[in-house]
Amino acid sequence: MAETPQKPIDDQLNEQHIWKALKDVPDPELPAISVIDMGIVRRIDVDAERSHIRVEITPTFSGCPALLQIQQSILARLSSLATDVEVIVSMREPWTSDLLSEDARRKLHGVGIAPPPKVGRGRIIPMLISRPLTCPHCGSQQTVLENAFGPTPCRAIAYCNQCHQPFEQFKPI
Amino acid sequence: MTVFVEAKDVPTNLKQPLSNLLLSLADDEFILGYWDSEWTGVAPTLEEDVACSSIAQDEIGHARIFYQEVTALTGTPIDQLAYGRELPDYRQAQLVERHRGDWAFTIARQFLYETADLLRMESLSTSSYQPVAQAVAKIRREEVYHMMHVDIWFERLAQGTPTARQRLERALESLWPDALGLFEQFPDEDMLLQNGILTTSNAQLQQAWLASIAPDFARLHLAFPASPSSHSDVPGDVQYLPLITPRLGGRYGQHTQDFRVLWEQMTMVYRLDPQASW
Repeated sequence: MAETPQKPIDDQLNEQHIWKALKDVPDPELPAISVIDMGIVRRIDVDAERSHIRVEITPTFSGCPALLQIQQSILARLSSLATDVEVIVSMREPWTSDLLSEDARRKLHGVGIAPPPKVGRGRIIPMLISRPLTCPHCGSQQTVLENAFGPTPCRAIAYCNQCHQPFEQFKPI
Repeated sequence: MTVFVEAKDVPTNLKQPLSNLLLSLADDEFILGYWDSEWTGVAPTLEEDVACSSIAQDEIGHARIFYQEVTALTGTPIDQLAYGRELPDYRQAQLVERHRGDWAFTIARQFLYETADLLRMESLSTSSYQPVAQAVAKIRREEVYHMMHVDIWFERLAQGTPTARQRLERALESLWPDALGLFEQFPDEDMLLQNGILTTSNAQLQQAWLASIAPDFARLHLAFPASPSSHSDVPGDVQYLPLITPRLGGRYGQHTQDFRVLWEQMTMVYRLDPQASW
């Protein structure tokens, strides 16, 4: 009778590796930016012995239509790494634009979307109208807010009087 | 005070009252969102077209959060909640089900609703039912932009041309009874208050609301159908007495012809085949 070998604990199945793997999952609306950089992934729990991964995500904006797609993309990315993968949507901590990583802010700027100013933990005030916006194309503050609302829940529409180009402003929330 | 962390922590006797509350919160946003979306393509300016559509998207997103909590509590699938109920099973206040009307009507209704909802969301932020407290923490952040938008337009119309002013006044006159109906007592409200699920009664919220908007109406010389009286026990505390009769019934499934028309449209696709997978 052959001895059943001890099943090696998969040394890829640890939390750090999962955080890294999820950097491959893009935000469907802003494909240059991962769900990690967006601050959408809030928590990862790994049970290596049971080959179980649990990921907690939170929506950026309640009306975001991409949430289901993000859930499915995360499931797809992790399905090869464990037997059992769970992706839960949690409202435990409301998403704030402060959760955007430095990388995310840089990438937004790169695609012509002005990143949001920091909001902090206090009351929300409509910062869009209380300070000048910076043009992501030319850096000027000779800008005007055209619309506090835009093509997606997270973006406002602005115009630069210096370089005469419109740009999108990520809304501080 | 007991904190209810999730749906399974809710005792049986509280399930129906809580579910009714959640449906009211969801239906208010859902129906309002529908009427706001009716401006898409026909708003007065392109930018307002974008604004109304975006606001509607937020509102339907807020409704979805509350519907998901009803699903967690009752097991009823979310699409069935949103589209599969009969007319008397919807629980929105009649204010939100009125047809969008003209631009002044939309702005007047939005102003009355947003100012009231601001206080309601604040009062729910310390609800003993954690999923509600968490939901409103999120929702309040987004509502800031809605409030900003309607504030600007309310001022603009009130201080605009005679036509703008007239239309606004006419809209407000028509809407006030419904606006007072926003504070209709919830079924089993006492039970919800006792358990901390509601932290403030509808009567108290209505007082706070009237006090919060009275200065705006005074400043803009707009008719305000409530009169301040200082007959309360607390010195310096002004109580507002509504001078008109509120139009009630929404929280108990009584709805208007406007809602019947909307319901037919918004549930049409779902009702073709409720079992279909889209």
